[in-house]
Amino acid sequence: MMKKRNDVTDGLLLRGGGGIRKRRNGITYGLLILSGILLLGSAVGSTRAALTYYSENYTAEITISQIGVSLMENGTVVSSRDYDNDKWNVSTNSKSSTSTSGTLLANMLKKDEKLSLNKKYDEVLKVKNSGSIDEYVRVRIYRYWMDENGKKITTLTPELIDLNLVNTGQWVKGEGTRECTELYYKGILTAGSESAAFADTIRIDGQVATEATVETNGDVITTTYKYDGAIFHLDVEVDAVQTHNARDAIRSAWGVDAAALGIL
Amino acid sequence: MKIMKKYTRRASCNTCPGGSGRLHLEGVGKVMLMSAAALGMTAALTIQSSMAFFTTYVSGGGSHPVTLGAQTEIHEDVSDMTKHIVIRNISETNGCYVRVKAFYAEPFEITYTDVGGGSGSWSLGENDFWYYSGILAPGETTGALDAKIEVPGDYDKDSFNVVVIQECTPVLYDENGSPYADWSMKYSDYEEGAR
Repeated sequence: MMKKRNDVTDGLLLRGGGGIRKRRNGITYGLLILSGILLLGSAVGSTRAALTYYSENYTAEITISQIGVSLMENGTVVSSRDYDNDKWNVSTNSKSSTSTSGTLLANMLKKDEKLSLNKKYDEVLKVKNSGSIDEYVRVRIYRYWMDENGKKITTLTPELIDLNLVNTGQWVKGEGTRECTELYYKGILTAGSESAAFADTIRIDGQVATEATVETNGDVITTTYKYDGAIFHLDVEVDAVQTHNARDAIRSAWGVDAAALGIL
Repeated sequence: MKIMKKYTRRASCNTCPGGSGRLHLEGVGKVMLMSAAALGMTAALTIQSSMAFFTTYVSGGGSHPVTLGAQTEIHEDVSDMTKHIVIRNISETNGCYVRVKAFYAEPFEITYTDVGGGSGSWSLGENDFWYYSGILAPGETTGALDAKIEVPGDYDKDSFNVVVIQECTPVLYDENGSPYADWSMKYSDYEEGAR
């Protein structure tokens, strides 16, 4: 009898404990379901926005999907990357078959010609829309010095690599650094057309010859220059983006406000 | 009794490893499942955003070395009170422009004569320097410039002192591509290895 009473007591206690746990579980699941609903609700909202937002792009993809761009130097295509038949066609003038970057300045000097200070060499740089849809384009120009081991020399002056920028009304300067110049093409570059040139010549400023040490040893005078052996580099990157939803597309791709830049 | 059995069974279930533990794991699984679903939806939205716009890009790059540096050597053979001045560009890579000037004290006088023999010629220019026309190519020697020293009769011809200095400057080009020398260029020394 005593055992039975104990069982009953245990049972009541157990029932009491089970009730609290049950309530707690109920609250937990209730909160979980509520949070799930909230999360789903927010996700659905975003999805709606995304679908509405991207539906135009989806239409664009069906009708006009072949974006492409080429970098041109002195009338010749240096490199291009065009979307066609569901794949990217990449071609460059590089001798390396694996390179995705073209070669600039390859014909700057004639055979056995040496680089001359202050001399202006032809370097007409343009962008061609090699795709089948209109696009906005920008270029980034990098100028810097390296040593013979491929190490960048930051103490030499990039400005002495003088790429003469032209058509500055058509190519709007963005934010840049001493090494990097950012140019945005004003307006739409229509399919198949070439932009106005953004540069026409390149020269190494004679100022590179002003930093030197002169040493006299008997009848011999030796002049050693700071820039002797330094290698100047010119790199150009071209980016293109669709014209549909241009402002958002440009902000997404380039992180700038196209309207504020005045390129739309 | 039925009630007691029921509670007793529930109690045993609550203490066995496969009882309430399994129930708890099932709850955690649901939470994880829902969390994963939410994460997946969020990730999907992110992917959609990144694929939203058509873009493309190309690049190109090129480089060339700048070779500077000059080494010139002056030769002054003396005969009959005349210095026969020639300058040789001993650089292997770079051409340059050269000029010379003689320093001496009165009452000496010097008469210069362009003897010729090189690709260019000597002419008197700014600051009393004698300038050699044209670019002195690597390995090339100028024509001779004779500097005849006039010594007054009462001076000892073995004790006069005439010093000839030479200078060189790199070849620059103007907008039309024509070479020229900028003798006004001021060098600023640099510490070797500083770059």
